[in-house]
Parts: sequence; structure tokens; C-alpha cells
Amino acid sequence: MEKLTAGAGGGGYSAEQGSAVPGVVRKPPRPLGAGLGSSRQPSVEALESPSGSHVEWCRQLIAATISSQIAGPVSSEAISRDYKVSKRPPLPALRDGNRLAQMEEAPRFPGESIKAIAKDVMYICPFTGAVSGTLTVTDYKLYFKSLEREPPFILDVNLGVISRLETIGVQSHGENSCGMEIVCKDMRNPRFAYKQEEQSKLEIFENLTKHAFPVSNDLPLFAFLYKEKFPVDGWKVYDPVAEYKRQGLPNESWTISKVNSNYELCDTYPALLVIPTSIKDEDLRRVVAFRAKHRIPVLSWIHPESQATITRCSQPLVGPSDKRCKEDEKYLQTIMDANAQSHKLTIFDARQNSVADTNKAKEGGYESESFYTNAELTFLEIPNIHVMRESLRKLKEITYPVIDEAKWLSNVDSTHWLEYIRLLLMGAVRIADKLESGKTSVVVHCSDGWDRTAQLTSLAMLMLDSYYRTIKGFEVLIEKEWISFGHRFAVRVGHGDVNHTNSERSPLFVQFIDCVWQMMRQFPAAFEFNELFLITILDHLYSCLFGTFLYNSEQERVKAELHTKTVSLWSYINSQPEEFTNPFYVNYENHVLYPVASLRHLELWVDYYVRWNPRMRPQMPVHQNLKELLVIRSELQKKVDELHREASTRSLSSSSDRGSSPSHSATPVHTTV
Amino acid sequence: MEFAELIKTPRVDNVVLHRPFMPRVEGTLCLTGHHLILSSRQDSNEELWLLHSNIDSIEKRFVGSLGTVIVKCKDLRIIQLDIPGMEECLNIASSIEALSTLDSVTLMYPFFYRPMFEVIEDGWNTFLPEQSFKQIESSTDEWRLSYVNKDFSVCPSYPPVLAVPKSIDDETIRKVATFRHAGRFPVLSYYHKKNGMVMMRSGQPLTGSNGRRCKEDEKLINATLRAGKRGYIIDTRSINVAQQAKARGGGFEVEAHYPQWRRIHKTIERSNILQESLIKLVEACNDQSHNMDRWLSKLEASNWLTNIKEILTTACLAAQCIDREGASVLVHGTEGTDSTLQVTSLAQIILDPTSRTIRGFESLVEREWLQAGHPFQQRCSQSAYSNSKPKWEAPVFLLFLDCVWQILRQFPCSFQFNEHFLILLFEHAYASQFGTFLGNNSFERRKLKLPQKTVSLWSWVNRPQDTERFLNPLFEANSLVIWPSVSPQSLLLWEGVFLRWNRSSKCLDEAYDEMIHIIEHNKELQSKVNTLRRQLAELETEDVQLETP
Repeated sequence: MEKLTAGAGGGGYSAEQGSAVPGVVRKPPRPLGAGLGSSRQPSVEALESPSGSHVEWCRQLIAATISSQIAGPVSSEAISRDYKVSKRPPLPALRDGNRLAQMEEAPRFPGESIKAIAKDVMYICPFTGAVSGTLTVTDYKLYFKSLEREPPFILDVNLGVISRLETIGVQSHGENSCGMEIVCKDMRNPRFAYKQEEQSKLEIFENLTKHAFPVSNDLPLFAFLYKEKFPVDGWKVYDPVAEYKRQGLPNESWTISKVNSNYELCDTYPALLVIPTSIKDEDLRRVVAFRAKHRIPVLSWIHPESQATITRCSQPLVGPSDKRCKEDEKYLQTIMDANAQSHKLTIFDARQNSVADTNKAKEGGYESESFYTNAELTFLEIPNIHVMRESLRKLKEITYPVIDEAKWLSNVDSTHWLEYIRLLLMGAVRIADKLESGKTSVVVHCSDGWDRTAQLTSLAMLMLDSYYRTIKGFEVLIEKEWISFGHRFAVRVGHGDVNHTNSERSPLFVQFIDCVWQMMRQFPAAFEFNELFLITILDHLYSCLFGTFLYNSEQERVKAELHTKTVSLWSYINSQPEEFTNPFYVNYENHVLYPVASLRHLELWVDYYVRWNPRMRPQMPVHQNLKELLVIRSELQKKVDELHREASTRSLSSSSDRGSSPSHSATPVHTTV
Repeated sequence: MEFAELIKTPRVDNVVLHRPFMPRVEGTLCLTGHHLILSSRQDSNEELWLLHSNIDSIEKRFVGSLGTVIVKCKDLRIIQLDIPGMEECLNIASSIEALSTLDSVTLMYPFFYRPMFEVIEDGWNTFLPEQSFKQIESSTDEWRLSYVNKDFSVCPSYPPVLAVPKSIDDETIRKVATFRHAGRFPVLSYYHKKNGMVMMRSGQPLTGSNGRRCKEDEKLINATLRAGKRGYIIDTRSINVAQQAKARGGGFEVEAHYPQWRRIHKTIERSNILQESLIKLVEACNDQSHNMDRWLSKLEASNWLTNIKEILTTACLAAQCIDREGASVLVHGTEGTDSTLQVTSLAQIILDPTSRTIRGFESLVEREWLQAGHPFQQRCSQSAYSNSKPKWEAPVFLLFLDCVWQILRQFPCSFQFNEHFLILLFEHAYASQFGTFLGNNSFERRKLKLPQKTVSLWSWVNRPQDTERFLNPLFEANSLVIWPSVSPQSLLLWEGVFLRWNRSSKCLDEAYDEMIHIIEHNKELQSKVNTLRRQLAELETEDVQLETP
């Protein structure tokens, strides 16, 4: 195999590799026309360089390891766990910029403005110790830069990721007696120390408090200020009619209904709904009244062969007195009848049976098998949002900042995080299998049908339909099952909201992405996208840089004119798809993927959850290497074509022009590839 | 002895075989002296050939007259045979039991195996000590080969030829041997070309409780130090264990007598504890109970990854002393045949790029394990399923392979071989048609006449058509010293061995094939470019020739 070199200079490092690098913000969107990736791709000309890019990678890795762990009795006890190895300027602007920029200024996005700057602030790094520098707060991020280290130490945290700000007492940092802890949603808590009673410091933390929680301070979310332009418009990715058409809808049993076009029927549902053709309007009204939050059963996905469907809804309002709704029963019967292959309908209730019973006492409940004939009800026993929030909180506790080496695995176990991932995957496998093998339609609901329901339907669809395993298809899946069907992103994430104790917050979407990552691990060739794609989605779930995950429902988004006033995350991603493409992808078209939902085969996603820990060994990603190979492939192919052309013209010319003076050899063959 | 005596029922029809990830097969079960064979007689692919020596234990169950024999293999696979007829089943079971626990080495399959391939390069002669020493000789003249052990009288577990400091004569060595456990005097294990530092290994010094000293021993190891330089002694036992060893005649080098050496104690577990760890690990991996509660806690409780961590950390320490401190190192534990070898061989993987090639790794296994006297016969006679109480069994070599896998995972492009190669060595260390891993040391191998009577694993692996399977397509020569990370979140369970029979690897294999495909395609393009360039250059010369009058 030929050797590779990752292009020119220090820039030859990919964002992918940077993913595990603490303190470096995941590569933000580049300014347009900044020469997309041109500097990092290996060029054919560089191939003969004696050391491959991976050797360079190894060098960095090794330096990191040496500084972080090699210790023992030989060297002194003072071990500096340094990230400087992987530390590099996150933006080309910084590298090439003028001296002033080198010194302090934070790189900014179009539309981003600096709110306050304070010098001599101390960042208390849990891994490398305290470091002094300049802290800048903009309306999008906080940016800390210290020139004490070589290369400069940079911490770049977007404000959207901040869950709460806390004043802490700090001792032993000299005159820097005030401290602030920034508790983040993405598994880290950076801490700063500063001198008391200094105007610039007070100002900066005032600004931080204000801009970290714009919603609570009557300020716009940064997405509305962000002025980046991308060549691709991500808001066009999801067109419900086109997506339903792709699924073969409408057909004789199912129609695309505009009954909710003004969001009057159900304010948390999208304008377009796919419902049985035969349902009469007045019956529909009765069903609406019988379902929690008016979330009636609507079609999510239809099997191209068997016509078995996944429909989703909220719990029926059965209540303590076992209320019935004939129209609802009939409605489900219609759903069943739409699929000629089976005379059964399976209802998957995501909740724990006991919880569903409790809900009954509070007007909610579940379908009784004796009223819904031919329906079988299965509880998937998945705990609620509060349990999940608690689980992730525990996970953060054991991973940041310090990992207890001796108890690492049992500590992970005690968070039950993987156990819940398993429950979700297993539930989705059961749903997918019911459709695929059982040819039976399913109805999925939990209580309101916007959390666990979205997790389950989207995972099952990902298993069943290879389209959703492409970059575009996955974006459609998120837009459809999560965003348009009213997963309450604003509430669950708490965008711009200072009230961190809000019990409605919960990392359900993170959990879903984790499940996708687990599937990716088990089927490395089945997904068009890579790990960076998933991490990027999660980073911008919090960042508020893009409009994609803002608000709770389609209705709210329309009202806020989100599509005209903000940029879609997919604009950014789809403008550089090669960054997010899995080189292994071979497209398992028509393959249903059943991941093994056993704890033994699930793994903690350390590249995401533990990425701030410098002792986290960033993998020399094989797929990174392959991506380079693919670039080389296309360059080689170009070269072959070029040489072919040249050879044919030359052989022509040399046969015709023989004797004439062939000018100085037009294309000197100076490199051997 | 005739094998026929042990085979009570050589053949049973209508036996149903269940294997992980394969459809059940019905066919005829045959027992031969060395194999359990199941043939469906329809499709030649549907056959099972299992070496009796690969069988770790068996269980039998009866439902009516239908018997079931569950065969648990040393490679951790579990297969099930449904055998109609109680008598047949019992006979088969007891025959398997007898055949899989034969005492005599000379009855093992390697003595009967005739290769179906032509031996081009006899693996028994590929890695002779003289040859590996030539490499060292080319960079230093401070070492020499000693034949003091040529009749195995000085140290029965050492090979006949060993590298020792040039300034030390054989007489001194004989004296040193009496001062070291089982005669294992300090010998050269690795020479670090970069700075001329060396790694040696030995058995523990026999200081005993009254603090015996041996001037010759001190002289020998001091002879390896540069003037004014200090060296490090890495004792793979904790200080307490080392102290206790004194009472049994063993001990460690005290500072007073070895002032130029600094002693560091690390804790690598002893063999019986490692065996327990393996058993617990495999139990956890095979736990079929449905809720699989607390899997990670069970994994942790097996301590397998902790053992990996300890071994890797100690190897890193040894490598660090040599490469970064510029000091020579002596490694030993008690006998110097287990943890010592784990450390010296892994340190070489870290330090020496050659040992990350296929040949280099084979050479490493030859030198640091086979010739160094790791008792494979004892350590690998049982694996994780054995019902009998372990005597000397221990997964010392498997742990070494696992550590190599961890490093390979962290540096996926720096090794010429792939995971399959490591798995192959694991399998053959426990059961094989080749003689390579038979016997406990060179002396036993010579007595058994293995090189004459059996085929070497290397003879087969090194045939180009067979090597291919074990080549890492991503390999790029990397001359760096590679420091692995040993933090717990960087160490993973080796699924390729421990969950191999629990999950299908089809999708992972497909991704791997895709990777090979990309690389192959690039090679083709590359050669196309080269050809075209050549053609163009030719055309150009032609033009120039035409131009010159």
C-alpha cells in the first residue's frame, strides 16, 4: 500500500480525530469558500513522503500517552496530563490571521458579536492544572485562550450547552478567590477562578449569565443572529409529501390528510397526517377526544411489500372507569384491515405495565384487549424520562472529571445507561420483527407519544428501511419522527432556559443517537454516515447555532418563521457530506437489520461521553485512513484518465509530427506516484 | 497402545449437530484416534472435524433414550451433539473423554499429521538463536553466544544457545546459574539499537532468608551497564510476595549488593489466579440468563482487564526505562517463565517495529516464549471449561496475545498482521496439528524429536498463499516506539476470542472485505498510473531521439 500524507502543514488533521480532543470545539462550520478541506486531503504528489499520515497520528497519540500516563517510579511523580499534543488552532483564521488575532481575539461566526473580554482569568483544568488567560464571551460562546502554554491553550464552549452557572469557592489559587463552575449538558463542567471585585470580571460573568440563557432574559436564541450562508438549503431536506410518496402513499387504504393543516385538531402534530382513507370526520373527532393531547394514531411507515404499518399515537384516555370509545376501537380495526396479510394488530406500549396502570387512575391508560378485538397489547417496560435523566447524570458523575480506574466497569453498570439502551433496541427489534416476519401492523405509544414512541418508531424504521441509513434519509427520519411529530426539544433540552431543575428535561434524543451508534458498531457497512455525523448532531442539539432542534412543535416553528430566520443543521452537513460519509458503506438495501440487543454486545460510547478526558485514547480511526484512501482513489483515477488522454494525444502527435520539434516536453513527468 | 481400544463406538448414524450461527446438521458421527468427525454425507461442506485435543470438557444429558453430548472446546466454542440411543451416547462420551485426555505427548496428533502441502521452508529452522543473534551482532560486540547449556545441564528450561555479555566466561555463568531459580541466569532478551540499551531476563536470585549473595551474578549483570549508568530491575511480583519468596530459598536483589541497580516491584498475578480470572470471564461471556444483569460488573469481577492492564503497564515501564531513561533492564518474577516473558515480549512489541511484522512476531514468539521455556504443555493443557482442578494451567500466553490485540487496536496501521493471526496462535497453542507448541521447553522438544517427527506451524503460516489471510491491509511501516494507553476506558474485551461464538461476525467481516476492496482497487489504479507514466516517458524519449539529429 502506498503511503499517505495528510496534506500541508499542521492542518492535516481531521475533525474526526479531533473529536476526542478536549477543549477543542468540534469543528464549527467553515466560512464559505474557505477551501473546503483542500488542505487536509492527501495529494497524489505527497504520496511518496516517507511517513504516512498514520505515523504522524501515532506520533501525536504517543506523545499524549507519554504525557498522560507514563509515570511510575522512573520519572518524577509530577505528571502533566497535557492535551497540547492534540491541541491545535481550531480555525484556519487563527492560524493564518494577524498577530492580534494570534494574541487574543476569538474567532467569530458571521452574526456573532463579542460581549465582554476579561484578562487574567484562570481556567482550572481538572487534567492539566490551572492556566491563566483571556476569557471572551460572545453571544454564542465563551472562549478562553492562554498563551502560557505552547501551543496556546484554548477552551471553546458554546453557550447553548450550558445547563447552569454556579459560583464556587476556590482556594489555593492565590488572589483568584472567586470561582465559577459551568455545568454543561455535554458531560463536562469547566471551572474558572478570578479576582474578586474587578469590574471587567463582574461584567463578563454578567454577560455570560445573560447570553447563556437568552430565553430567560428575553433575548433571541443565537440561531436567529447567525448569518452564515451555505450552498445547500437544509430546510428543503424534508418534504412530507415526497417522503410519503417514497413510501408509496397515498394508496387505497391510506390518505395524506390536511385535517390538521391549521394545527387545530392536534397542536403538537404536523400539518400533514397519514390516516386511514375510510375514516369519517366525525369519527375522527371522537378519536381525537379519546387520545391524550389529541395525538391520534397516524401512520409513520408502511412496509413496501406486506403493507403492514407502524402507526404512532398517545395513550387512550381510558381512566379509572375503563371508558371505551367505539370510534377508537373501529379506527384501530381499520388500521388492521388495511393490511391484508394479518388478522392481528399489535399494540406496543413503551411504558412499564405498572406505570400504565397508574396512568389509568389519572385519566390515561391503555387499550383493553377485550374491547379491541384482534389486538394484542405488549408492554416494553421502558422507564420514563426522569429515570433516563438520572441515569445520564450518574454517567457524567463517573466519567467527569475523574474516572475511578478500579471500578470503571461496575460504575458504568450502576448507571444502568446501557441497560436502557438495550431496552430501547430490544423494543425496536420487536416492532421491526413484527412487521417484517409477522407481517403484522403495529401501533406504538407511551403516555404522550412524543418521547419513547419517537425513539421506538424511528429506531424500528432505521432497522426496516435502508433509506433511513443514508445521510439524507437519516435527516428525513429525524425531521419526521422527532421534529415534525412534536418531540419537545425546547423543553427536553431546555434551550436558553435558566431553569436547570426543570424536571421536563431529559436526554431522550441523546439516547436515540446512542442506539444508532450501537447499530453502527454492529453493522459497520450498513450506514452511509459516520460517527462524526452523530456527534455533530448531538453537539448542535445543544448549541442553538442552527434552528433545527429549536421549539417543541411544527406549529411553534411556523409561528417563529424558523425556516426563513435560521439556518438548518442539514445546510451545514449537506454542504460537506464527505466529512460525514462512512467509507465502509456498501448499502444493505432491502436488508432488515436486527442488532443484537444484549448487554454483552453493547458498549459505552466513550468517543462521545468520555471525550473530554485526555486519557481517553482517541482511536486512530481506520475509517479516517480509508477516507484518505478514497480520496487517493479518485485522484488516481483522475491521473489515469489524464495520462490516458495525454498518451493518446502524444502518440497521435508523435506519429504525425514526427520530425517536427516537439516543444519542451509539455508535461514533465516529475513525480512518481 | 491402540486408539481402537479407547473407541467404544466408532460410528453412530442420525446424529444432530448444533453449532453457533450454523444450521443444524444431521449426519454420521465418527470417532478416529484424533478427530471427532460429523459428516452429513450430502454436502462435503457440512462437515465437522474436531481435534480431540481441542476438547476441554464434555457434558451429557438424557431425555428418554435421546442423549445429548455438549462438547466444550479449548477455543471456547460450545457444540452440541444429539445422539440417538443411550448406549451409543454413553460410549461416545466416554471415548471422547478418554481420547481428549491422553497423557502421552507422543500420541498427540502432530506425531501422526502429514501435511497436505509442500514444506518449502522448514519452520523448525526458521528462527534459530544463531540467526536472531546475527542481527544483534551487527550493532554491538558486547555480547556473545554461549554454548554452556548445550546439553541442558546448566538450565533445563533454557535453549542450548544463549546470548550473554562477552566479558563473562562460561565458568562464571555456571556459578550464576546456581544462584538463580531453576538455573535461569540472566540472558539477553532484547537489544535496543537506538541507544544500545538492553533488556535481560532471568529467574529470581536464590538469596534465601539469610541473604546469600553471589559475586558472579553481580558481575554478570553489572557487565551490561555503561560506565556510570544505572540499571533497573523489574520484579513482576509485589514486594510482599518477593519477601515471602525468601523463606522458600528465593528472593530479590538487595540494594547493598546491587548498588548500580534500582529495583521496581510490579504486581502481575500468578498463574492460578489468572486461570480463575479466565474461567470467570468465560462464564460471564457465556451467561445465557436472559436479563444479563450487571454484565459489566461481572466482566470487572473477572479481573481479566485488570490483569491486562497490569501486564501492559509493566511492559510499558520496561520499555520506558530502556527508551526514555536510557537504562538497561533486567526482568524477572519467580521462575522467569511466565509474567517475565509477558513483560519482555510486550516491551519489544512497543519498542521494536520488527516485532510488529509477521516474521518478526513469529520470531518473538519463538525466542521469548518457546525457546525461553514457557511451559506451553502445562499451561495450555486445559482451558476455561475444564472441570478438573487446575494444576499448572494458566492463560499466560492468551493474556499476552490479548495485550498485543489491545495495542493492535490502538495502532491499527502499525502491525503487519491482523487479529486473525493472534487468534490462530491462541488456537494452536491449545490444540494443533503442528508440533510447535508441544513440550515445555527446548530440552523436551529435542527429546521428543519434534523437528524430525512433526511439522512446524511456521512451515504452514509462512507459505505466501497462507500468510495472506493474516496480513493487515492497512499496514504501513511505523518505526516509532508505540506507547499504548492503559486507562480502563481504552482497554476493551477481545470480542474476537471471547464473544466469537456468541455473535455472528458476518457484518464486521463484510466491512473488513470492503476495506480490502478499497485498498486493492487503489493498488490497481496505482499500477495503471505507473504503466501510463512509463509509456509516456517512452514516447517522450522517442520524441527526443527523433529530434536530435
